[in-house]
Amino acid sequence: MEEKFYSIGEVSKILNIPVTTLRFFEENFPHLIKPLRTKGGHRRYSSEDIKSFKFIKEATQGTSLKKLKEHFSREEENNLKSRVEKIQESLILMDQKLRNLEAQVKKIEEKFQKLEENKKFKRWF
Amino acid sequence: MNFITEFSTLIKIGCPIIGIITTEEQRFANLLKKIFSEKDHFLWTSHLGLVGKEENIYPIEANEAIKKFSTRDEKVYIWLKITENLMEEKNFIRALKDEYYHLKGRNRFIILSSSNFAIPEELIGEIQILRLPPPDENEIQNIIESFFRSANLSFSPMTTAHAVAILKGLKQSEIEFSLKKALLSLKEKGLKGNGSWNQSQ
Repeated sequence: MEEKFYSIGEVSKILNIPVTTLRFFEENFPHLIKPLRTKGGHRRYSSEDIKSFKFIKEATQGTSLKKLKEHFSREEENNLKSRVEKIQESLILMDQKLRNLEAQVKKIEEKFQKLEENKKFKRWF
Repeated sequence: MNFITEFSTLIKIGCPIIGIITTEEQRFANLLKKIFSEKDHFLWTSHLGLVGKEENIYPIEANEAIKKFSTRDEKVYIWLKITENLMEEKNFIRALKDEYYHLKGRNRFIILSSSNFAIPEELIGEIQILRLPPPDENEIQNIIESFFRSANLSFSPMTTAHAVAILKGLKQSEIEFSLKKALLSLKEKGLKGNGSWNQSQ
């Protein structure tokens, strides 16, 4: 049997969820809601997408869209902060490694210089 | 939608109380570790009390354990292995109700697991219930592969697919038990380590 696909208006009527909320869910749960596109670029939702919308609706019951938006933007901010912190940590580590390498290069150069001096001395002798 | 996707969605939304219907505690523990990437947490059971990193409070009632968790911001979640009748205790219901509003949107979670749940009226709409289904095909394949890797045996992909189909619908412990039995029977047939197991065997 051919699978049926629905427009956002139809999904809105079936689930009794405003279109703006559906769009918000789609934007924030791209791993759950994966609509197909018509040639004209319109989204078409599968019955699996409808199940996902229903699941999110039930899980967010009692929370306003405004609160949800606040929650997600806070989440995004926290994620960004922790990513920045991780990048900073790895920069510090890289800096330390670079310094160690520079110190090693310096030691090798010194040894090399001593060897060269020894060679010169031997030749002279 | 599979269990991990549903569970992760509830976490992303910030649902403070999640109830899991399961009898596979060890498997659920492994999934929790995977989902929360080993974040700091408490575990409560009636016989162990409240267990955290390098701490253990015993005895402690479940409602007191929840209150303790509430005051410890560094703990991302508390996992309570409960029995069905605990959901009838007024103190426990009260503690859950209080914490629901306290934890909402804070990315801290109370995870309840039990073989069955009867949600009291006072908590309807505040607890999201998920059922942990038996391992799916990918999970079964991983179990088989890791089991036979540890036994130093190798499987052909066809045999693995055959075994996956046979073991589908079983719990992880049942799958492991079946594999152990299969391994014993192979050993009785004289198969040594580094051998391979063909479907005909």
